[in-house]
Amino acid sequence: MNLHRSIVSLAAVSFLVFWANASAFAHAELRRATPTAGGAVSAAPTEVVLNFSEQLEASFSSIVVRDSVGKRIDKADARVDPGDHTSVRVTLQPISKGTYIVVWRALTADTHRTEGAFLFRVGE
Amino acid sequence: MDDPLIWVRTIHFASTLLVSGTVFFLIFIAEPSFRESFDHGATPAFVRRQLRWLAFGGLLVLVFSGAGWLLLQTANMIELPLGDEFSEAALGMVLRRTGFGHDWIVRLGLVVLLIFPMLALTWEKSTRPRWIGLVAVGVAAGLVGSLAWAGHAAATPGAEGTLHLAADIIHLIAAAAWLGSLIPLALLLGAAIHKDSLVGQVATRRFSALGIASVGALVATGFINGWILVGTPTALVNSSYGRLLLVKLALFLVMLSVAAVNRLVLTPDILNPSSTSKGSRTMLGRLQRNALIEATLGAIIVVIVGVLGTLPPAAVAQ
Repeated sequence: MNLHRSIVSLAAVSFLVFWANASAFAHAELRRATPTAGGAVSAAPTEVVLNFSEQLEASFSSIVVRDSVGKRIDKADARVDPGDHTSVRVTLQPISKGTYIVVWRALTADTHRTEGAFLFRVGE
Repeated sequence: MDDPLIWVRTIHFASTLLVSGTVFFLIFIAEPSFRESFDHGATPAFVRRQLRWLAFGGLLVLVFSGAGWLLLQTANMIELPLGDEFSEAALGMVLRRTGFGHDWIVRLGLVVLLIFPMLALTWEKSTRPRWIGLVAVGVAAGLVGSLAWAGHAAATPGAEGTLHLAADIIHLIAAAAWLGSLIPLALLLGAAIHKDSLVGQVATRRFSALGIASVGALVATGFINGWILVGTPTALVNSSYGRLLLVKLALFLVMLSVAAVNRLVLTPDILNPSSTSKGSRTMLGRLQRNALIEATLGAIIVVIVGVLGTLPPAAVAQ
């Protein structure tokens, strides 16, 4: 019967389509970073703030900041903003001119992981 | 496709829809149909027994798949394999400190709360206080609606997130009411065909009303969710998420066409007082077969939902 045939072919197509497409990408997108990713600031910042596209899980999201010789310069107090769960921030120790790297990991409230890293410069 | 998380989610969603749908069917369709057709004899007892097996079987699958989902999700979050020495600590952390974990605990509580009402409602004897049915419906609605917090709606920020959660909750409850009651309907129709076709007619009429309301809610909330998660028509075509959503929509449309046949062709014939009892039984048989076809399509949709939950929403990936 026509209905049965179209159902079977539709089911077959569906399986093919999502077989070809099923792969998990990163979820939370970094929307804004302070200091800007890849940018330069004249005064040393006291914290790094990252804003994401989705709400985050505080227990599984972190930021680590290192200097150009790999020494950790953040105070290991990364926390998600309690009001709006889309940003995470970490306080920095006093730092001088140079290049620094921010390495972040985010877990969204719907259990998907993203991670990334970027550089920023302090001075000139 | 070989991600076990997809399959454990699919099985858990399917069993939740079935359990909640069976409760909704029992309270809103089966029992009223028994009352309206003045049937207090063998048919209600038989149907209640069948639905008891269905509901508790479904509940067992729900519990095991739920446990599996928690384990796999924890391993996924901490990026260590299961059985690692950190697993127990990680499980505790996920349960106590994440939204997913809190949702899981609440839903486990709801499962426990559902056991006694479900037993009482599917007991063969017909008398039970009315409030048990209300409790069962409330807990069942909570059990399926709270799945919203384990999905993308939990991560959408701001006021849009609240709208998303509300739409998702209604979407889930409506899906349980429609998809979840297809197999119970097929069971009741089977009993009606062999014993007493009057119950079948009343149930058909009531299921029609439930179906129309559920489909309306599914379309409205599906549109809201789709707009939040995909955003633009181009994203619908250009992203994995969007394309899968289109497949889900296509399957939904096929289901709708089967339902339309049920509503516009079979139901009037079944409810026609001048149709012969043999004619009614043939129509009921066709309706039963259509209900099973729809249930199969619904199962494929649930698989798609299992996959969609692991993909980034198209609106984000742009």
